[in-house]
Amino acid sequence: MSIRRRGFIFKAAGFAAAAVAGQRLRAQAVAPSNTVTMGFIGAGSRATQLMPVFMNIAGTRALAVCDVNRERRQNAKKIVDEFNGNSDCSEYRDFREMLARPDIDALYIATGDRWHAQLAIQAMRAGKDVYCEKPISLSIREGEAVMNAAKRYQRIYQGGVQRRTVGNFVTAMNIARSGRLGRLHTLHAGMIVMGFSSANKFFDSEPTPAHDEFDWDMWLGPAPWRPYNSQYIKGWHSQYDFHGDLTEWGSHTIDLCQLVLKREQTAPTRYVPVDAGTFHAFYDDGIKLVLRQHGFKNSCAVRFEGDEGWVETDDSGDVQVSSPSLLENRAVRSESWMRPVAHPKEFLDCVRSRQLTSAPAESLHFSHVACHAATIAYHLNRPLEFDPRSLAFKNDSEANRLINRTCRAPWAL
Amino acid sequence: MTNKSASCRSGLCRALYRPAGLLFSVLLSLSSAAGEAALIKQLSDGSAEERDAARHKLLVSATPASIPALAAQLAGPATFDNACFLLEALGHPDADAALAAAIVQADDRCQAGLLNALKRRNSPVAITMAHGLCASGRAMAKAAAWDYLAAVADPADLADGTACAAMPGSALLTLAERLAETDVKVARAKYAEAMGERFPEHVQLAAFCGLLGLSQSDMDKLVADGLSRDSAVWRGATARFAANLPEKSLRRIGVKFMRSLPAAGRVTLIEAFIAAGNRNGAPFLRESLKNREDTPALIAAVGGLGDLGDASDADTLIELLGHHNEALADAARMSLIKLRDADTDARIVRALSKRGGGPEAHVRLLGVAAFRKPHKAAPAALQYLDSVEPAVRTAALTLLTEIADEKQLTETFSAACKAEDPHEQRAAEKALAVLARKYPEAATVAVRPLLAAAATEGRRALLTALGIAGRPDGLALVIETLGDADSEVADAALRVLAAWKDIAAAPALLRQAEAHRSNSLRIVALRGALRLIAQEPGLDARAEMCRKAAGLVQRDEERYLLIEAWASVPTPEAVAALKPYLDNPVFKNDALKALRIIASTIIVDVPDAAPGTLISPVAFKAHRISDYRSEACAVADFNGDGKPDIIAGPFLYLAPDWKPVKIREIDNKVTEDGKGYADDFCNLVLDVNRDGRPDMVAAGWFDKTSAWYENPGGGKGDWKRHVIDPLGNHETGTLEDIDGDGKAEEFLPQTHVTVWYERSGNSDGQATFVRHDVCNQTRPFGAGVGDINGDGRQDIIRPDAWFEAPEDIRKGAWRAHPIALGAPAGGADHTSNIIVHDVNADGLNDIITSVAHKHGIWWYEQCRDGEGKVGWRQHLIDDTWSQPHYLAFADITGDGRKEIIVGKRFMAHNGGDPDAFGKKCVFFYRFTPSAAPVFTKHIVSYDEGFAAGLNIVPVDIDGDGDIDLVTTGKWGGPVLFENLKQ
Repeated sequence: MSIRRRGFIFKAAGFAAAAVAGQRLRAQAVAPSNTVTMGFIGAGSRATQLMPVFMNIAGTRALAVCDVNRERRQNAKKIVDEFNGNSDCSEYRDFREMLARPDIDALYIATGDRWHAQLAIQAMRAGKDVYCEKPISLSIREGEAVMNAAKRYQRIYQGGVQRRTVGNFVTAMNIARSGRLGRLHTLHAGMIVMGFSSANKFFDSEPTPAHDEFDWDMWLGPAPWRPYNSQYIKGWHSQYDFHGDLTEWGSHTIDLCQLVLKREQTAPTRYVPVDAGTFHAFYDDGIKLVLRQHGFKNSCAVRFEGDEGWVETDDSGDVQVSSPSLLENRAVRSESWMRPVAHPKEFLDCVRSRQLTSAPAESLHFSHVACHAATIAYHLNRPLEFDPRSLAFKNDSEANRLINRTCRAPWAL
Repeated sequence: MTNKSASCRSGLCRALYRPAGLLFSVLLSLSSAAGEAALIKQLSDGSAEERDAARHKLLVSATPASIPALAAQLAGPATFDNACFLLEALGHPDADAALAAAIVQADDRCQAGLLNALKRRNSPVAITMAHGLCASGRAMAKAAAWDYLAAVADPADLADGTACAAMPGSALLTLAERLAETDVKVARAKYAEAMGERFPEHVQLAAFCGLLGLSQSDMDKLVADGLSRDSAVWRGATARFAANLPEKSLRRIGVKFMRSLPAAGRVTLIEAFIAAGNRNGAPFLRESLKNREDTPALIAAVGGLGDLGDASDADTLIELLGHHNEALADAARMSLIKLRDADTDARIVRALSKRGGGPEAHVRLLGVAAFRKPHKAAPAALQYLDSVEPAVRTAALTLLTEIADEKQLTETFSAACKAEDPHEQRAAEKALAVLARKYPEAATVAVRPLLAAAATEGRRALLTALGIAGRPDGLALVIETLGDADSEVADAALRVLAAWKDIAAAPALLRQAEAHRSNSLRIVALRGALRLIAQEPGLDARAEMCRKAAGLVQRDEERYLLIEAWASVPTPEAVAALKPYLDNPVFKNDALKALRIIASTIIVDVPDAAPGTLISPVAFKAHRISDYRSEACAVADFNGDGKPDIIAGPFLYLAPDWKPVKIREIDNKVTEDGKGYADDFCNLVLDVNRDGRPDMVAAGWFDKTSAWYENPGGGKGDWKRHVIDPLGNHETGTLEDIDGDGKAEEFLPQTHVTVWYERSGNSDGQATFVRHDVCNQTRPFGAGVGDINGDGRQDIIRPDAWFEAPEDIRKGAWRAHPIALGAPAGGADHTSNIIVHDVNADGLNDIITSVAHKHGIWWYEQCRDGEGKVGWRQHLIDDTWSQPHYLAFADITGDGRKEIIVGKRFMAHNGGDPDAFGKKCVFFYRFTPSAAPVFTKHIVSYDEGFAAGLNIVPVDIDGDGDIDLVTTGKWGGPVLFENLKQ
């Protein structure tokens, strides 16, 4: 896939102004400036952060919201209606009804992690473009299916790994890729928590709510069935069935490490648990990836180390470097993870121009392969060898059974 | 699993990890058949939790022996999902057979699940049944059956149209994708079928893209078809395919279809060339330029040349700069800016020289040049300066601002000082300023002839340029112009002079301040002079200028500047001149500031608020951190965020907002009026276990024990206590450099006996302290360390003896010598800590200390008799206030010499000490080591509610380069005294 990406990551900075103007010009000349119509699936806290961001970007119109929880669904409809100044926003309990609408171009998916891959695939199969929150999958098989669906249906896919386009992370990556750190040998990915969802925890069953109030079966979706308890709804992050453990932060930080190495079609080959807060992975050429909980200033920290220096950054927006000269002539801009604008805007631009986004499915699939393989080795607590081409562990049939997860019928990949 | 738990430091992550450990360790140990059977039973009979655990375990460990039991569970609605998933994972032919066998009896949902499992296993055992289900009315099973057949069945069985006339789009695409690897012809037919009307457009598109991927001789036609579509999605997918084609193929398609494609398609095709990023695509873009009628495609192609073109396109692009379609002309401009080829600059220079086209083209071309900055363009740019169009002249000035060198200065300046329209004037001012800064000498030379000839507005601009250049010649010229006949110009010259950057202008300014005809300009001149005085290198000359200016000052506004100027004159005359301002509330703060600056060089004999104090060279601002009544504190970066934090008593206060974190319990009986004690008599910073995080050493009077508290890092609370030694009452203690390694890391407690401790590890590798006994005789409190006898070793000093360090400080005996410190007339008493310093600069170390609970701070001069025997002569520093319990010794004035910082230990004996209720205070004493040192006393804090306790920490806590002070006491602290010097 060599069609060029929008966005300015890794482009020479010199002509930034010219490039911006040039693109504006081309957009005017090429794309009929048709409005992108959107639907929102999932209406929890993340969704209510980003829905206004999407709606505020010029040329967007929100048409529908979907959630299995009536209260959230109605709240989301209220947000959209207030923005649009009417009461036209449709609300759906079953996303399939929303996907059947021909007038919706693009979807923002912000459900719990267990639904991400399934919804993205169903949406692309229905001819929709997709902005999907991270992680993109709960298993290696799911990620592969997302990648294949995007490819088959030629859909625009943007993963919600907005740090790929946030200024301080871009600056750190540009420094690492400029060669001024020498040969990169160790990349650190901050994790904050590891082993948070390494098992399931069960609560006593409660009476299942009415379908229309809260559709429990649909909430569970492809995850294994269990009796209803309201605590799962807020606490799903700590359940193995609903969460991908190291994907929580790895989908950002491991992803940035893969990106900085330009390794978007492969993954580390050796995975070595060190202790509960540290994990090492190695690429086939020996480059080391360190996942660790401790020693970082802020969330989502990454550190790139080369023979001649290092650079580190995190959600504080600061970029730290081994030598101040590395930051000369670089203006560092940051953007809050709460309200990223560049990333959603790029998605909508690409929906019109049909160019590749900066976080497309294939590239994300491989960084999630690294996350999932690390999670499996971390849970089994033993070193594993992995083949990124066949997407299988070498000589370890137990580990290989964890490459897939249950997919409760009728949902299927 | 145990190794992981043991090596995990944090309790939290250990707690988090345990579930997984449990889960997977059980699963790994599971091997017996009996265990497996039990799990299978749990899968059906267990609670939700047990079923889940059983599924997890069986997932990685089940054997084919379980297949019959799992097959039986497929029949139960509650057990179906787990059984189906486990059979899928098992990977044994019998599992496939079991899954297939269950289809017959299953309901719709379960049939779909079974078929999906078999599909993922790529197992053809259920083909016949699937065919049957495809024709059934069961929605879920039907869809799954089609997917299953498409993925698994022999394509030959599905190839004929009737067999799969009702196949859904996604299944059809799956089938075609499979066929593409074995039978391209049939695969193409299937794709063609999926492009049929009965499928939604996005399925048709997916099929079209599949067909493109398999295209042969029909490729060009297919691409043309894709590009002709109305749908941007469709065109975009085609462009993506086209961009990946070999350059030759793409070019062929371009030649064949460019003219016949609809407008949007032409643009998309050009985009494909640009996206391909291959510079060989440029000829095609050039071809598109030939059709000047097709504006959208033209704009796209022109825009693409910036990326793909080379210098040979520059001429065409330059020609388009004058195009009446602005979007097109603009695209040409952007491409010209982007063209990488170096020869482009030469062409731009040539075009500039030719001066073809109209004014719009000129403005754009000059703008491109201003972006690319080709230095050879400067001579050509000059000719645009005489254009009749202001916009052209403005663009030329902007370009010359970037690229002109000395040779073009005269002409550029000449044009600049003629600027008429406001845009042009702004560009002219910028050109003058930038070039005068870049070439100060040449600019000054260039201005001289122009200044005589230009009109008023121009002459003003030229004078400003002279000011920016700031050369002596220029200064002479400005001074000359002061007498110009054009009064507007003369006034402008005065303003330039008043803003002059160096002291050379000061004499002329003072003259003008005295004699200029206009009162307001006299003030301007005076202000200019006052601003410069501090730059004058000679002290006498500075004083003279101040004196002269003082005679001319009329308004308060200039008096402020005069006070600032006097601050640069450290003489008694300046002090005398400034003193009267102290009585005027309007000037008091400024005068005080000036006097402080002078005080950093000479002694300023002006009294401050407290008795016996003089105005301080540095001022402190008190920040109350808390109001907790205990007496010891410590400062270090305890949470590792790079900012120093404060510990006082049981709390760690985290910078920068000093949020308290409770790190330990202490026994605190202090009342609201400061009576009673907190059993916490020293807080000292030491990385005891050498883990890189500073720990804390503390000691108690009442519990008679010293202990260290282990810092868990991260600003967390509940520090673990480790006892060091239950030695006895601790008055307080300090860290000292006893082993002479330059680091104050040995713990010297102030106890009745004399001992010291150093860090060590015990046989388990855990941190601990080793005690070294010096003398077990009971003495007054007070202790210090320093080399008394000049043998290079650190001796230990107590109020009534000093101990000479032996060669081996750990094993040797410390020899006692008499001394008497801490009372008037040569007596001994409890002292503060004892400082060793050569106060009189005679090469022998002297002693500074104070009496802990009464009146008196002294220094003790070391004398030697004829035999070299050590003796002491006592000198009083101050005895006007009581309870100076601790002396800090640090350079807080930044003059390279240390000061003694000392404050009242409030309620040290609960009101029983002399002058116990005197004003709360912290002072510092300043002296210059010399034969007869003079100590001046200055205020840190006086009568504002803050005193000291058992220690004062001098530390640059705000990172601004000067030393701040932190202390606490039973008055309720801690307090941070911010040094306002920097």
